[in-house]
Amino acid sequence: MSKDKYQKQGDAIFAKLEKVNSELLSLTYGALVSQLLKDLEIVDEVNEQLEKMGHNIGTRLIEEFLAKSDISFCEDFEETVEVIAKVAFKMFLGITGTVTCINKESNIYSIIFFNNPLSDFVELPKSLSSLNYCSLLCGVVKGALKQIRITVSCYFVKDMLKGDDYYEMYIQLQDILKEEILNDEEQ
Amino acid sequence: MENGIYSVEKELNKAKRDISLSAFSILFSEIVQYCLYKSKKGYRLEDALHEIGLRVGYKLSEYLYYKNKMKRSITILNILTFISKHVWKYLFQHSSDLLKSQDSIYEYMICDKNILLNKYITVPKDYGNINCASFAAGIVEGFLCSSEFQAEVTAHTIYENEQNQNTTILVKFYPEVIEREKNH
Repeated sequence: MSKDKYQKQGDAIFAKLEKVNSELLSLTYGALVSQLLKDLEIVDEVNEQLEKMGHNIGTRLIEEFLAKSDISFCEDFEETVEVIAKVAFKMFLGITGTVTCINKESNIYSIIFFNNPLSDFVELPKSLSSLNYCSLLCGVVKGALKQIRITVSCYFVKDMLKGDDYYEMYIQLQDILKEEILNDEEQ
Repeated sequence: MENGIYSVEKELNKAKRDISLSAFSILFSEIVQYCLYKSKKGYRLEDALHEIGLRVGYKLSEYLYYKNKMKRSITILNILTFISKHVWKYLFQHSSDLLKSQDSIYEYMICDKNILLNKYITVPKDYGNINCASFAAGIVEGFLCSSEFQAEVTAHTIYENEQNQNTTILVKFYPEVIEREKNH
């Protein structure tokens, strides 16, 4: 089954990579979020800044992903999301997600995962209940897919920091940009 | 949260997990970019990185003693050895060297030949002597200050030759700390 193939691929690639303690990532990301809260003060601006930073990270991450993994073509959007959940998540964060289809016509898929190294040790106080702590991850997915000309919208619907039992991220396909081949003679 | 106590125990006793070095490096480079952006508003890049490191250091001073099942250090040498061995090993996977300065009784140095943070960073010549290990310096300062060993910690680059660059973290204790040590 193609699902197992991606899982095995993800595990194989992860085994070969140089690794660090996941708590270093958790602590660094936590310090970054605290610093942003101190600098920007408004929670919505922090959410926006995190997504922007995620977007920048995604633009560079996709190159590394394509270089280190053997992924060639995905038949449809579902397969793309499957690759993200099984291979990319594993390669970078060491976690695997499960993909479910929410709405086939509007192309909405969800990735469910239980561990998130970015939010280890974190508890959100009541005053910051509207902070989307993991919005960096959404930004990364958006930015990475944008580089391969797929526009998506990505947001968390279930967040363990806000009291839910697992993390659920919705990815909705919006547009696939076609390659434009400019004809020199037309100029 | 109602199950607050339960979740603290669960978080503290989690199994060790690994992530890829590239994930951390890319996040760190984005943090450096953010600090660069802040430096346009008048903050120094190194100060901004240092401030973020401070926050990490504050948390580590409680957590790592628990994790290593050791008692807290109350002498300068003990705490600096703890930092250069256990803290470095926890964060950067190898231990560093601790040196005492010959010129001043207040100064100590932690030397790391190839610090993880700078692995994928090259500093352009017009930025001078900036070292992104200011993040690590911030971690050390946060650790020391929250353990009541007030100090100023900075990161410096030592050029051995064209290719090799070592990072030295300079720890300068406040006089009160040295005085307290003498009266021990």
